[in-house]
Amino acid sequence: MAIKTLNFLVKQFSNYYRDHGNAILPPSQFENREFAFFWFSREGALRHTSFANLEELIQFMGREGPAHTFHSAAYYEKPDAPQMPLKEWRGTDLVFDIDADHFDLPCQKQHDIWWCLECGHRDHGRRPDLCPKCNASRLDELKWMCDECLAKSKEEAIKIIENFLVPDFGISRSEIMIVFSGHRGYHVHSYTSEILSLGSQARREIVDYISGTGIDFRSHGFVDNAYGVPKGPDPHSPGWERKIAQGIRFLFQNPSQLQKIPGLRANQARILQEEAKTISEHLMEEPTRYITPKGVGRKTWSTIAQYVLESTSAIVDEPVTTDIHRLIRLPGSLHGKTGFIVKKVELSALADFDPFRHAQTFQGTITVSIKDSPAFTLGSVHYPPMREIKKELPLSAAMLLLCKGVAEIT
Amino acid sequence: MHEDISIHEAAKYPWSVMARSLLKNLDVTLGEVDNNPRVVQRAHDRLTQALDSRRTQTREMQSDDEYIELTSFFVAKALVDGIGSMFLRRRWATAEAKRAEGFLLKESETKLPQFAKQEFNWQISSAGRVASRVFSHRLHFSNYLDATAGFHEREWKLVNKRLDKGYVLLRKSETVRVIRAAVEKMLIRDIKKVPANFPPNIQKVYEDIDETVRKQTDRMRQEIQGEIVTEAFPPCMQALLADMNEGKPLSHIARFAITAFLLNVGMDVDSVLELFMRAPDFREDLARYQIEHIAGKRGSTEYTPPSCAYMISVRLCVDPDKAESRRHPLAYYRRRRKWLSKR
Repeated sequence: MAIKTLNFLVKQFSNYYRDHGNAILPPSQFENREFAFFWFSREGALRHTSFANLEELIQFMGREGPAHTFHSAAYYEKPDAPQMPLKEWRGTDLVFDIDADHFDLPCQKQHDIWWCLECGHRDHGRRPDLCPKCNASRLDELKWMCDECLAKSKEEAIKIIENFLVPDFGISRSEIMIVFSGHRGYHVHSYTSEILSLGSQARREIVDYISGTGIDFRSHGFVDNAYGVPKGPDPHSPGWERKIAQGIRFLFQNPSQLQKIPGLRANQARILQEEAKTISEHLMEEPTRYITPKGVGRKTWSTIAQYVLESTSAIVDEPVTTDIHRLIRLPGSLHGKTGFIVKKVELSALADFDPFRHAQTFQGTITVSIKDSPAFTLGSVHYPPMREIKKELPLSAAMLLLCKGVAEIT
Repeated sequence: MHEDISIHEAAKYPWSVMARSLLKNLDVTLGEVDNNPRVVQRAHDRLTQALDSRRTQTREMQSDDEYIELTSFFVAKALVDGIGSMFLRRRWATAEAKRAEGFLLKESETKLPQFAKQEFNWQISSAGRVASRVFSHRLHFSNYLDATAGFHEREWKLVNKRLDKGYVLLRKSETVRVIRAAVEKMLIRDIKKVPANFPPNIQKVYEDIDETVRKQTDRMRQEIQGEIVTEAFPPCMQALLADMNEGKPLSHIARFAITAFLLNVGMDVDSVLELFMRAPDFREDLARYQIEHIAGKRGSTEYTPPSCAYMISVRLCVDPDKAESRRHPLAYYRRRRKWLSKR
């Protein structure tokens, strides 16, 4: 990136923090948090810093214009100590990172590109570990985002909250905060006092619970009783058992869905569809009695349960939740790869939240020289793919291209 | 009468808040119990039994046993603190926690929550019928996870428990098992400073146990170290090794796991480094630094590879169903190597 462009980005970010300092949402126990900053025009990061109060932080950000701003999910006695053991850990919020990076979506094959720094080979989709052409490992990539991947991230965030944190973990909605990450996902923070002292292993169990990792269907009601009539999960039971039971009921009330189940042979799916009404009626009458037509055994029920599990569980980035010293983006700060606001979204407003409208701040226009950009929509404007062109753009669109490194200041 | 009841309780649960305050009131000192051969003998038994079988006897106590049960625990703990071996400490904590489990199973369902609240400040209450099943207790998931971290059987994973509005539903035997785990953890963590010299009879026990511990740990070390038997590697490590040989790049955690494993079974830094050379992103300076760090040459910690539970969770375990009955890749290696050498 040209110096001129870098300086421009620093200036724009600084201005934002000077003018919109009140948008910064300080984490609780502010003085016990570690802060970290990454820069546009400098290598490396500034870590192990802390601030006495919010004003000091905002002044600092206004002066320095950092590209990325993080705070620790943890609370420390000495947040500015240079090494972890010296910080005197006191607890960590429970955080989840939901990022489109972890999904395999068709849209990514269109808008994500990678290229080999050795042979120049380029392709769409997820970056491989090695270049398939020359076997080199030095690869670079450009990740983009669209309505589809952001909608999927939002859907996962809602699942974490509504399927798990609230009903199973008993965490009140008032102790949950949801934040748009500024790029391709959402962060879910929770501050319930009981979870703050949990260690990594305990947090891994929470991640495994939410992702359904290590589930044993026999623990959730699937057993053969003495008469060979399979018993199944009870929809009145709490936790995963209810989710599986309800998922199965839904499938038999909407038998066309049965065809979608991978691992089910065509004739099995057909038998189940034919018998769906009977099975469904039986389940209404006796909730744990899973009658099985001929050709459908316990293995089939397992396949169905697995399908329900996969559509009910949520995909989260495990290390973010389990690492108690993790840094997380400061709500209200800007994301240096997009210029979008890392924005807190009220749960009630989440359904209507559109990052391409509601996480924008930059006003005005500017002419930039575009190298190569994919199609995107920002606000209500659709931008076609652009290549080797100088163009006057609204500042928010220009900032996105500059931050992504696909345009320069002229 | 009140004291009778409490000494009975204290003898069953000698590590409890109540037992500690009773001991304080009785003003028991090591010098005083040194003259009571039954106390010294029982302390010795507690430790040898723990070392042999990770258990110590549980039986109905007669009234004069109670004082001995209580004070011998106190003596044994002082010895564990004094000897300072983590191996002994773990064995002893396991044995004492199992002993407590035997008594806890005989307690009433209503007593257990009171007990757990008092000892561990848990959020726990009685449960009752939930849908088609009957449970004994509801325990807050944070307390449950704190206690069961390290359990490797699938049935204890949170995902296989019924979790309702923050509480894990448990049957009585399960509650007792979780309390046992909490007791064990507490005993492992609670390390006190002890005087450099024990009174003469207890000192004899000290020397005997210290010797036994040294012999046992030496033997275990020999079982792991020595000639490296690749065929005895657990499947997860075999798979990682195969990936390395093919020059596939490994994730950070995979690199850590295989490195820590190889170092622990006795491979030297240079040989591990050689294996990594095939990696496409190999940089000798970085790799050497990381390997030496894991070997404990750069800091005070010498790392061991992750447990089976962790390997399952990060999806590096190649056979999660079978791994259920296993705890640790190193334990697998030790057993398998022994078995292979016998053949």
